Amino acid sequence: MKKYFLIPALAVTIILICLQFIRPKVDNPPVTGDLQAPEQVKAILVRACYDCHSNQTNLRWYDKIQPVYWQVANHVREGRKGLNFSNWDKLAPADRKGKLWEAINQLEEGAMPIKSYTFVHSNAKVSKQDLAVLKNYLAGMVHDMPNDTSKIHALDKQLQAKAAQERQKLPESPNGITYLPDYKSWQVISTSDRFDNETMRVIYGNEIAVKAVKEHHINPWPNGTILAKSAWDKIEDTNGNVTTGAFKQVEFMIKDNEKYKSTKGWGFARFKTPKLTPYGKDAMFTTECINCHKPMHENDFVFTFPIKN
Amino acid sequence: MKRISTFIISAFAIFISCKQASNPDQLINQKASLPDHFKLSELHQKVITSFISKKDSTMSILYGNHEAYNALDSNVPSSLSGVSATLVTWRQQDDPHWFGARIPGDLLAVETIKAAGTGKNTVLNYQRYTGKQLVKLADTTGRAGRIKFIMSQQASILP
Ligand code: HEC
Ligand code: HEC
Repeated sequence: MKKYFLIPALAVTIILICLQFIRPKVDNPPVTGDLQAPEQVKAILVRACYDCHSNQTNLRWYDKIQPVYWQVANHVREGRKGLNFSNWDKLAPADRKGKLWEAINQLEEGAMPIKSYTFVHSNAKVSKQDLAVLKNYLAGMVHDMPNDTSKIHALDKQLQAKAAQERQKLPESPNGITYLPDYKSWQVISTSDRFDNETMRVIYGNEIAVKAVKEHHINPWPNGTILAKSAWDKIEDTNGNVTTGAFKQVEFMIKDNEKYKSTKGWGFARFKTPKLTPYGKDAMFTTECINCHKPMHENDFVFTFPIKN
Repeated sequence: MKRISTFIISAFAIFISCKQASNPDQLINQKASLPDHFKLSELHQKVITSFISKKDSTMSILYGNHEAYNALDSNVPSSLSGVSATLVTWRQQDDPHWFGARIPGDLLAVETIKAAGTGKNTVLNYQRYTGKQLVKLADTTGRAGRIKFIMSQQASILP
């Protein structure tokens, strides 16, 4: 019995030692423009997020032991790809804001920082007070803008262009999903008033989706489900009445476990402006959709709480 | 040895299966849902527009048939005959899934408009239902104002 153990144990030890010499590279490229935020806010993000979401990664000796180091390096690489506070200048102002709201939401849902990381780096944990500081900071960025002339103008422009619009061919998203014009006559499953980015949305479901809601069979949603979400600017008058302004985009999530296996069982597509321009340089644009929807993995990646009607 | 590994594997399997998907019943927005007797989805009306009142913290969706849509779509000359429209209003609540969004909370009211008669003789009938159970209201005060308000909405741009 003892001998049986000795040989494998020795082998494992030797492999582990050898592994220490095969090292991925984690370097810190230059910081082009760091996130600007109040000190208190910044300190929380630096402490909890900067190891994976900046070019100021500060790995401790215990992060560098193989095979853990591989995972750490991978986290840093993938983390920087989706969100890098050191290249903040590379983002348009609206995208900076969007990323911040996304970041705080990932935090609130417990999706970030990654659990295996906080397990070892307990100082990276974000307390309730810290979260409140971050949320207050974001809430402070929301301002009422009654009678916003640029928004009214954008709507007028779309209204005038409406009559002239005629489409021969339906647009196609880079991952091969064709625009589905029928969603306009589907039932509504919810609506959303987004004060983070001044838009309002209506979420539609096809017949399969509406039936699934009635029968409470929505986790997971059945194959054939299609959810659509259209978004508009918000136009506010001086009495606080908000109506839909310019059309921003429509997005689809099409459920098919087999066909869309590589993207969590959902086919994602987004078409922008009344021209319905497909979103994404290539099929990899879905990574962005999935990363933000990921905290909802226990709800089949769906945010919406559907309404029965 | 074998027994130990079986034990470890099954313990691991149990551990994984413990992390269960959320209960579908809790994912349905119950307080915003319409009562069974009000079969909105069977009217097959489509969304014309949606709007928000910040003062009242409410959000609404206006549905309508083809005639209603045409009447409220600014590019088409309007006629009222055949119009049927439904306005659903909810109290807003914070979205538990997204800091930065408000979604429908308690169902407050449903108002319906239906045209009767044709051509010049078309009249619009109005009805209001309130509360979670959508109780039909007999009181018709403010009726003209509500019809005017609903019929003055502009259809959202939906390409
Ligand atoms: C241990 C490394 C690590 C830490 C620490 C970490 N993240 Fe991440 N983060 C990742 C990785 C890896 C991804 C890529 C997607 C995934 O695996 O979930 C990611 C993705 C994200 C995304 C999605 C980006 C996109 O693609 O759109 C956001 C937002 C985010 N993290 C926010 C945060 C915030 C906020 C913190 C700090 C509170 C944080 N992360 C801390 C590793 C980390
Ligand atoms: C920054 C975060 C974020 C990104 C990125 C994102 N979504 Fe979403 N998505 C949301 C939120 C939040 C909701 C909930 C509805 C709302 O308030 O807008 C949602 C809802 C949806 C819905 C309605 C079903 C549901 O989950 O509630 C669809 C369809 C959808 N998104 C498609 C997409 C597609 C396609 C992409 C990528 C092109 C995408 N989303 C990228 C945050 C995101």
